[in-house]
Amino acid sequence: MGVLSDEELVDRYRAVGGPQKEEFLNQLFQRHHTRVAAWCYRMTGDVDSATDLAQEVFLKAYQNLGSFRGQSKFTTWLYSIARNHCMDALKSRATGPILAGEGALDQVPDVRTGDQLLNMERREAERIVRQLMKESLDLAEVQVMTLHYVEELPLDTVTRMLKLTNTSGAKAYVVSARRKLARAFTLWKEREERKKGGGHAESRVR
Amino acid sequence: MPNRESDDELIVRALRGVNDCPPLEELERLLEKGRSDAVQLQQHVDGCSHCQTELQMLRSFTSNEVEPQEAQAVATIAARLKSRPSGIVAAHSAVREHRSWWKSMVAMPWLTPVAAMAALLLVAAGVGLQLRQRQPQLDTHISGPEILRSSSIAILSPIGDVREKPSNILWEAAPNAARYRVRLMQVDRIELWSADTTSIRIDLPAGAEAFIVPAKTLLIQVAAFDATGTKIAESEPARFRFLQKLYTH
Repeated sequence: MGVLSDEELVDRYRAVGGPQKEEFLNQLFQRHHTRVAAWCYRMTGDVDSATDLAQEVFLKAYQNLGSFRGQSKFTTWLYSIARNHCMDALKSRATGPILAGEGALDQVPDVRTGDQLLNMERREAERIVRQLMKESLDLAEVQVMTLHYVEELPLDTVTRMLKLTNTSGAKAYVVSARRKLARAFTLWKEREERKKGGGHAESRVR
Repeated sequence: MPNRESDDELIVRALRGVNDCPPLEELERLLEKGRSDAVQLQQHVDGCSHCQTELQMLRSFTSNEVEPQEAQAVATIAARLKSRPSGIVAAHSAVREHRSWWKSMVAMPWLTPVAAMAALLLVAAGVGLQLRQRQPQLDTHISGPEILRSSSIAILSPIGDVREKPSNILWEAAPNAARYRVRLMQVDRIELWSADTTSIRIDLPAGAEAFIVPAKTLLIQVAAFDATGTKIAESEPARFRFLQKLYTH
């Protein structure tokens, strides 16, 4: 048998019966077990928990192989299983809200968006904040903020996931991003005030 | 006082994806270099923090690159997984094909090391028994204070990979024990459930059984206390994993 793609292996797995099925599953496992192991380790930072998670990911993948329709690459499909399973596991293992347990947020600067934004129509306020982020944050800061605040991943997990090598890891990026955002909001508010006062300054976000 | 919660909520909402975020199967196109049909997609990603992060995660997963500082841990996990896939695969197929249980058992390659380990344990237990039955000899060279060692408790079940969902925990009795404390924990030692009993067996309530999910390794630890409440013995954390239900889906 020549080298088959992942998707072809799945097709063959579906087509055959008996012990041959196992051969195709084994080949998929051999190709992908390191990437799943690495992913789970980055999520947990612990070998024992990561081994359990990785095994659960493979079992889930095997059980749902029938639902793989080839609309994406097999690797992308496996990623979606690993991503969702690990994030669910991390959230269910947390004894309380992850963000509250970090302690990091107590030490980082406030971002005072100001009453103008908070009183604004919701979608418009989000659009402005998104634009200010785009203008003031670099890609790594955006990714750290998204994984920590939106996906609620602990900071040490974010550090491993993004392979950050600085001493304080993701926390430094959160501090930096919040400082930059605070500054961006201040400048934006000043511009808005000038506009209201009859000034001619143009808003950068418009 | 800053309206911090509202500020953070606004930031989180802005960081979240918008409604028209592409699904993963579209996002993966950006991983292929030189695709000219993905201009619109790239424009969306450039302005969307959610998609930028998702793409970075997907790139990290598909690249299969392992950093030097994580290489040893990843190799250990991979090796542990590699020692088990045949078992997983065989068991997974067993459900689909309704193979008889004895055929599945014979077909499982992991059974060989398990059998070897069981034989080793039996030999060790036999040697231990022989040593215990020997006449005690006084050591005439003992001097100084007596050293008291705490005794250990052996967990009898469940241990290792189990095919039936455990409904109780059983352990060896400790001399002079007035009560036992039983703890069910995750592998990171976070306690999920605990209870006290005067017996050497405890039935798991539904709340505790709910933590025993397929393929998840859990730990059990039993401590014995005397009538004064002093801990007199404790087991090592015993690992077990429930596999059976996985194959009935």
